Amino acid sequence: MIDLVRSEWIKLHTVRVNYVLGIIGAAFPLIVVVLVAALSGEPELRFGNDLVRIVIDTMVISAILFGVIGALNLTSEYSHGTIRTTFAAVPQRATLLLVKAGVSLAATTIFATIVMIVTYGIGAIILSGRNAQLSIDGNGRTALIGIVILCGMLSLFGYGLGLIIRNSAATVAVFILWPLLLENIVRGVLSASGVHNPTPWLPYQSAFAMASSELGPGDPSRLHGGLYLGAVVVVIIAIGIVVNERRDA
Amino acid sequence: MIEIRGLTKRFGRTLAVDDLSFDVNPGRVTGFLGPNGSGKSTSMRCMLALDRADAGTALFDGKPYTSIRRPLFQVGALLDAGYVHPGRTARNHLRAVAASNGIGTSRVDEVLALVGLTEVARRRVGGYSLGMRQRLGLASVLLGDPHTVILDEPANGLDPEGIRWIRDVLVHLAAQGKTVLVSSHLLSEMAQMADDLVVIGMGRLITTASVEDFVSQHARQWVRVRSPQIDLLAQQLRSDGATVTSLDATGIEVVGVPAATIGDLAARHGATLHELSPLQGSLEDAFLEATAATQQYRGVPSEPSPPPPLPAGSALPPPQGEPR
Repeated sequence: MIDLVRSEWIKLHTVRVNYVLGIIGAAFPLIVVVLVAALSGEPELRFGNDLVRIVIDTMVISAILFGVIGALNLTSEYSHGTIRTTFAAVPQRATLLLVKAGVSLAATTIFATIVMIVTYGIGAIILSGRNAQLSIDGNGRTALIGIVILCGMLSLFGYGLGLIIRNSAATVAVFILWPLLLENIVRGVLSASGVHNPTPWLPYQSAFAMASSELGPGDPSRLHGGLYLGAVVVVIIAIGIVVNERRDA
Repeated sequence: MIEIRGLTKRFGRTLAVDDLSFDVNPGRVTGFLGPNGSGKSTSMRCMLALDRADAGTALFDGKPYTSIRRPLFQVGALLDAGYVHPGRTARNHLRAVAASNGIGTSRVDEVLALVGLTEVARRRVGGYSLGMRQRLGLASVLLGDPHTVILDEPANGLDPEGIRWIRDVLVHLAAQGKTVLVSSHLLSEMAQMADDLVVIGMGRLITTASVEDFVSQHARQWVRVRSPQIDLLAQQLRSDGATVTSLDATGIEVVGVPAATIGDLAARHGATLHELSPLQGSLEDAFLEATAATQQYRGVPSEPSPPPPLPAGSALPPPQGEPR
C-alpha cells in the first residue's frame, strides 16, 4: 500500500499543471487578504472574525481549483493513456483508485491547511499593526477548519466526477457547472414544487455551511452540509470505481 | 509461459477477438502477426486485463494477470509508447511506475542507462521523438526484470540502429529463458528475431507454427535452373507435370519439382547445369498468403506505369526470393 501511495504522490507532484493550479489556489487568498488587510479602511476589518470571513471567501476559489486538480489527477491519466500503464502495473483497480483518492485528499487537506494558516497569519500580522482585535470565537475557528475540509471534499468531488466522466474538459465543466447550473436548476424545481428552503437539499451549496462563520436561519447546519456533500462524494466515487472496474481502460 | 484459451472480446456488434487460443513458450521469441484490425492489440490488452474479455482466460505461468501482486516482476508490457504524460520527465514517469511495485530509484537509473536515455532522463517526455518514447517504454518493461515480455509494435518509430537494438534485446531476453511475445508489421525484422509465430486474422487464430514451418507451408517454393540445354530440360519438366516459366535464353523457374529431381533429370539427359537454386518466398509472402482471406483494409492497386525499355540483350529481373 505504501508503494502505491509513493507512486501516486510522485504522479501528483511531477506535473506542472498541478503546481500552477496549486500556486494560484494559494496565491489568490494570500494576495487578496494582504491587500484588504493593508489597504482597507478601519471599519472593514476590525475583528478576528472579519479576517476569518475574508480568508474563507477567497479560499472558496482555492477549493474549486483543488477540485480541478482532483479531477485532472484522474482524467489526465485517461487523456494521455497512462491509465493503461497504471493499471498494467497495478491490476487491482479498486485499491489503486482508492489510494489515488486518498493521496489527492491528503495532499489537498495538508496544502489547504498551510494556505489557510499562512493566509490568516499574514493577515493577522498586518492587522495587528493596525490595532485590530484579532481574537476569533468558536464559530470563526470552526469555519476555518470547515474551509479546509471543504477543500478536501471538493478535491474528492472533482476526482469522483473524473472517475465517471474520464474526459478532462467535460469533468472540469461539470465540476464548475454543478453549483452554478445544476444545483440552481434543482433549486428552481424544488421551489416550484413547494419546498420552502431548498438549500439543505443541494449538496454543493449546503456544504458551504461548513465554512460559514455566521449561519443564517435558513442555512443547513455545518454537520448537515459536511455529511451531505461527503455522502454524495462517497456515492460518486463508489459508482466511479464500479464503472472503472467493468470498463475497458 | 502464456496460455490463452478461448479469448473473446466484443465491441458492440464487432467481434474483435473470437475464441482465440494459443501458447507462448519460454526461451523463444514469439511473433504475433495479423493484418490491421485483426485484433492483435485488443488481444494483448485483454491478456493484461486492460480490456475486459467477454470470455476466455489468459494465464501467465498459470495465473491470471489480475491475481499477480507486483506484476512488473513477472510481466513487462509495452502496448503503446505514447502512454506517457508529456509534462512529466522520463525519470519521473519511470519512478512513478517503479514505485507502484516497490522498485527503487536506483533500478530506474539502471534501465534508463540500458536503453540509452540517461542524458535526457530529466527532460519532459513531450519533447521526445517516437523512437525515444519507444526506448522509454522498453525501459518501463525492463524495470522489474520480468519473466514475460509483451510488446506491441516496439520498432515503430525507431531508426535502423534502434530496430537492430530492440531485436538484439528481445533475442537476448529469450536466450535468458524469458517468454517474449511481440507484434510487429516489420516482417523482415520478425523473420530475423522470431522463433515462433501466432498469426491471426479478423480476431481468429489462423495458425501457430515455427517461422520455418509457417514460411514453408504458406510461401511459394520454386527452383531456378540455368543450363545451355535449357529448352531440353524445360520440355522434360513440363512433360513430368511441372510448371515452368522461362526467364531468359538459358534460365527457367520450376514449380512443383524438387531441385534434386531436376538435378537427376539433367544428369540423365547429359545436360550441363550452371545454376540449380531452390528458392522460397519470404515471411512477408507467407503472411500475405496466409492472411489473404482476412485482410479487412486493402488498398486499391494503382494502374501500373509502363516499364522503361530494357537495354538490348538484358534479362527481365528475376522474382524476389531467398535462397534456402
